[in-house]
Amino acid sequence: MLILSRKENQSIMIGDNIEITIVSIKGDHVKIGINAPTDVKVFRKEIFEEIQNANKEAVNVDPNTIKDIGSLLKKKE
Amino acid sequence: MKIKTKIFGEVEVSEKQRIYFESGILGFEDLHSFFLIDIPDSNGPFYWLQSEESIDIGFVVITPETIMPDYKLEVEKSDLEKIDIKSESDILLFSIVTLYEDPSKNTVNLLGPIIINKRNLKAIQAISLNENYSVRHPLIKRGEQ
Repeated sequence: MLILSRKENQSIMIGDNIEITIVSIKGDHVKIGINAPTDVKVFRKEIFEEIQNANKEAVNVDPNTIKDIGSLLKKKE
Repeated sequence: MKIKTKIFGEVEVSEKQRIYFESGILGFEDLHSFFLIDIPDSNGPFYWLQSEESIDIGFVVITPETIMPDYKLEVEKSDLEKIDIKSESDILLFSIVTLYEDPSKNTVNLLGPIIINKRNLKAIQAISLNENYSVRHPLIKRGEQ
């Protein structure tokens, strides 16, 4: 992994059109600004991982649980 | 034609039910071809998304509006362009459901919607730009908590 030191308001360019700026540093909190073309997806890594993990959990469904699925969202009588 | 499914044995399907995920589903990036089928006897809003390439992989899905009537699809334009969405009427929207032994723990993923283009049957799992939507939203109809 390439590691660069940056101070507040300094930037890094990735290729010609992705700019990452350190907007502010307060204690252990770093604000990062990202300028990138619209086709470049920028998400916090945790979100990707959360969705991957949820998907992996979802496939472990127990066939017996699905048998009752029809009653799941029915109003309680 | 007939396909094998993880839970429902052999199921009769038509080509119109074959959905193509060019980039797969998050965590299952190598699987591209899925069949969207009715869940037998479910009488409900749930469907089953069965991988054609791996019989062990399948998902229970539901339309997010069933759980959240005012659910809004807010994703990157590029995600919609990838599956050639031209207008809102092209879109068929689903959320993946996670079922547990204890039904009160069931959740639905509103942050990572499955978007299907009805015209060409291309699909993508996008990530909502609205981070207020949860990956594990309770699977309960609003007003029934």
